[in-house]
Amino acid sequence: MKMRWMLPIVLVLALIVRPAPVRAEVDSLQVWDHLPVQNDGRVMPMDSYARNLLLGFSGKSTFQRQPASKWLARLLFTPEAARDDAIFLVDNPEVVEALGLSAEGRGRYSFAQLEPALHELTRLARAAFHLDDEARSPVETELMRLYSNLSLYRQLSQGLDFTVPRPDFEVTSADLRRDLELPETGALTLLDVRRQQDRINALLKMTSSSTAPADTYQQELRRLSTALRMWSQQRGSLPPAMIPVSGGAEPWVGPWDALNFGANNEAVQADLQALNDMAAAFRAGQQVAFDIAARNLASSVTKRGTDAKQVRNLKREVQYNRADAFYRAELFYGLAFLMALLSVPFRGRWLYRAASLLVVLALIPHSYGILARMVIMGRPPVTNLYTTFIFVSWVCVVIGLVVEYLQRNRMGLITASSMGLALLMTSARFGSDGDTMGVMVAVLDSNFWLATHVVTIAIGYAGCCAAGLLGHIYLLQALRRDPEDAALKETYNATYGALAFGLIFAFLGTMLGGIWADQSWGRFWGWDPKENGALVIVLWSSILFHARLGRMIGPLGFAAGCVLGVIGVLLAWMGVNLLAVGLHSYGFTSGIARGLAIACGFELLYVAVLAPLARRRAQTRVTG
Amino acid sequence: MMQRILGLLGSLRITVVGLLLLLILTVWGTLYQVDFGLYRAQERFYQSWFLLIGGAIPFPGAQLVMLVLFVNMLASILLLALRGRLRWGLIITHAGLLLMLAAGAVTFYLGKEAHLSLVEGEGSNVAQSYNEWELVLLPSGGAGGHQVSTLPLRALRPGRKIPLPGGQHVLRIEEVRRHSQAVREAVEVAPVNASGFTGLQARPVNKEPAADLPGVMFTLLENGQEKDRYLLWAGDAAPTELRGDAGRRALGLRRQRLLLPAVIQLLDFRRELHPGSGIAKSYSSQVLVQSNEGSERKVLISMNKPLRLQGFTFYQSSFSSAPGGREVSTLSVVQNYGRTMPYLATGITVLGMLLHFTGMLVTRLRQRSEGRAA
Repeated sequence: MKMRWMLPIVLVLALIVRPAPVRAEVDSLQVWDHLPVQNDGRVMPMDSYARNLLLGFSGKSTFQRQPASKWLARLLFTPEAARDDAIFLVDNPEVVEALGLSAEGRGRYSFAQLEPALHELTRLARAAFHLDDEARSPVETELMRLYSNLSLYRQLSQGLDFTVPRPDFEVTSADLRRDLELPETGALTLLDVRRQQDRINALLKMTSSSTAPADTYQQELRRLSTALRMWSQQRGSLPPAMIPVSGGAEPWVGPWDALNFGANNEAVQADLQALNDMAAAFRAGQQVAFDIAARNLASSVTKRGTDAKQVRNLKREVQYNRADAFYRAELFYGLAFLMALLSVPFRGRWLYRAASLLVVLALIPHSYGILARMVIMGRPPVTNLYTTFIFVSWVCVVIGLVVEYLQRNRMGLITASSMGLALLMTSARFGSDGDTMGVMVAVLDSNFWLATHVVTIAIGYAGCCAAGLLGHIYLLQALRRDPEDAALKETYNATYGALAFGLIFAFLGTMLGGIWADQSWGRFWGWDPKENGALVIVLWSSILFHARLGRMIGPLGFAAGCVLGVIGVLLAWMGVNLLAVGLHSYGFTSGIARGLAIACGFELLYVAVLAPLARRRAQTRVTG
Repeated sequence: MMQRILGLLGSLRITVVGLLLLLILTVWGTLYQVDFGLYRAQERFYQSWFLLIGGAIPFPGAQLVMLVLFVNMLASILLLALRGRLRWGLIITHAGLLLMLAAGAVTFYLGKEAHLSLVEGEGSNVAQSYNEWELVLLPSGGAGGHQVSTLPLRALRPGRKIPLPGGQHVLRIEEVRRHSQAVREAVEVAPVNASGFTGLQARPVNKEPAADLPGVMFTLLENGQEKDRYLLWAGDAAPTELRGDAGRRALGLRRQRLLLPAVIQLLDFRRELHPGSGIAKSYSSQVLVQSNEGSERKVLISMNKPLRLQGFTFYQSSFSSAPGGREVSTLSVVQNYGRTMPYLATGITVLGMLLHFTGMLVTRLRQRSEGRAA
């Protein structure tokens, strides 16, 4: 195949790789996705709420190739049907054993499968809860996590069950239906009956005085009244918090609380009725009815509980979710990396151009993702661990492109595409435990410092990472080239420049962190782990520069030092968080600890193997 | 000659070794604090001149390393200047770093830290230290004037003799324990103690030193003659009166106090949560600052927005509830003359680095383009 055609084909392929379209009884969840929900301190669209829930339960944000919001709608409106959805990820086979489930091992289980073990799970989780963080084993942490997921699931399955037809609310007596102004036929939900609460009370009073033996009419009347009371007593404080009661920054309530306490609020009653209508339409597969009811609910809720900016951000957030920007960027970076690598042995112009174009194209969704998040959250680009990866990878790509522009020898491209890909892939690991757009805790709630200290340090990390990658390239090149080789010198220059860039920003970022600490806690420097981590990076980079200046190490030593410096960056970036939790505790962090250990081990091995080989080669060339 | 000495002092080898030692101390101290707490790690690694590994092998502490680096940097810039090699980027960078180290020294040696916990409605002009204790000499039973003398606990060492004001009495320190439990055991000769304690039992030090209760035993000498033995414990109910003292004074142990330039009264503490969650959005304390001159003003102290008053800075630190449901706000108080030095030092150092590396980049690019043209 002619090289000339590769680029267009690749581009076309990349453009058509996207998630499968939604297939649903209610075809489109457009309105449902945009419904606001208040969760963890902020108002988010139902789409995000559903994705975060599903991610927490199953580790993925889709179920059976359908979006999470579809799954959540099924759970809320048809809880019985959702019981067999295999959404609970159980990672640890020992957990399966402990719960006495049929040994399917690691995998995804449904609520129906886990329900028989619920009693045992509750018992084990409660016992584990009382242990210290450090004394808990990975199995116990997993048990607690599973218990908490199942509890939340149960709450959700009850959250809208006043819109679900129940035998308790069945009325067979046509007279009763007529007297209560209920529709002549059809299943009845709690809400249908509750709207006639006054009438029921009146009728009860009338009929209780009569001494005639109870007939169906009376029996059903009594049953309805009792059932209404019982259900309301048993249901309260359930998610999702989608009904604002009084607006402003007041907490929103779940539908059951709105039902139990919002009797006098006309708007709330209308909202509940809209939910009832939505549920009926969903069950019957009636798209138009569903959308109309959902739109009524949406306009009523947004008018009471959100301002114009929040409404715009709801739309933007759904757009952002669906764009899956970082995944697309990863694809482009991956392809670019492949091409950049191939362009080393196959010195085709077109491979080089394709790789360059792909990196630039990847920057588009990458930048969109970062900007969209900034606008939606109203924050600088880095607010939590997840976003550090997204941002650092972006800066690395830019550094790589600059190096490429200056040197035009593919090293910059390789740096850009590999770091873009690797860091975005790592970010996915850190974005899976809940809302990545979470609100900031009080001490971090300062846009100024987030924009200065955090961004600067992230840029510093990026510089050191880029230097590290270039160091890897140098060591590889040094195996086959003389120290005087021009290409090798260029790589060294790029490594030096990247580390200098990294050092300036890492130093500045560290000092800005101290200034922030001074403003916030009263001391500029406290030798605490996070501060020490940053200092280690600054110290190591300084050591490399001074050792180089004093000719204590040569370019090879410098490059090897940069590779080792990556260990410092990784430990400061992620390792320090492990310390805070306690070096002896596991759970979700065990994956991170292991990954970290592997990465650091790899870097050490890389240097330990390649550096002596390269050095021997250089020496034999000199003596030979 | 001068150049020779400066050359030795300013050697890059010293720099590299010094930086490496500092790196090792940073990593080691970080791991140490996991088990022993931040405070102890600071004491052992960062505030010390040297530490003993396994109790025997000496290893330089951060104070020593930073002093060496300070001298090293100073010597190297002086050398550059003497030789007329005015590489401004390097000079400015290192001048900034020198300032940074100086700032650290000023903060460490001259700075004071304390905290002020106020119930809503309460006011005070005295802040207390979390971890530092002092020996306090005051008139017993509130009689007479308010002549109070204090001596930091750190200054006490077994065998040390401390003269009391008045000239007649001297304390000879026998025992000092950082963390102890006082006990009432039967002993031959009970020491004098306000609460009737007779001995001190050593306890293992805590990760959080605020929970450590120190104890001191000393013998009182009057005009050179040994009188009674005394026991002072941090948990004593009251200061212990000195027997046979004409001035009727008492001694006690209390957390170090910091006198504030004004009375701070807590009017209202507010905690805001992000709606519908348990995540704190902001903490703030509305306080009334009553200065010694009589003027009053209301100030809001919140996270990231401290109050600065005459060299002191007040930060919103934490909060709790008092019995009865009233809220207690804890402000941390810092007195630090060197507070603004790090800000200046950062700016200078970064400027220097930018100058230095940009200069190198420009030179390299120029070389390359000349190389291409050739």
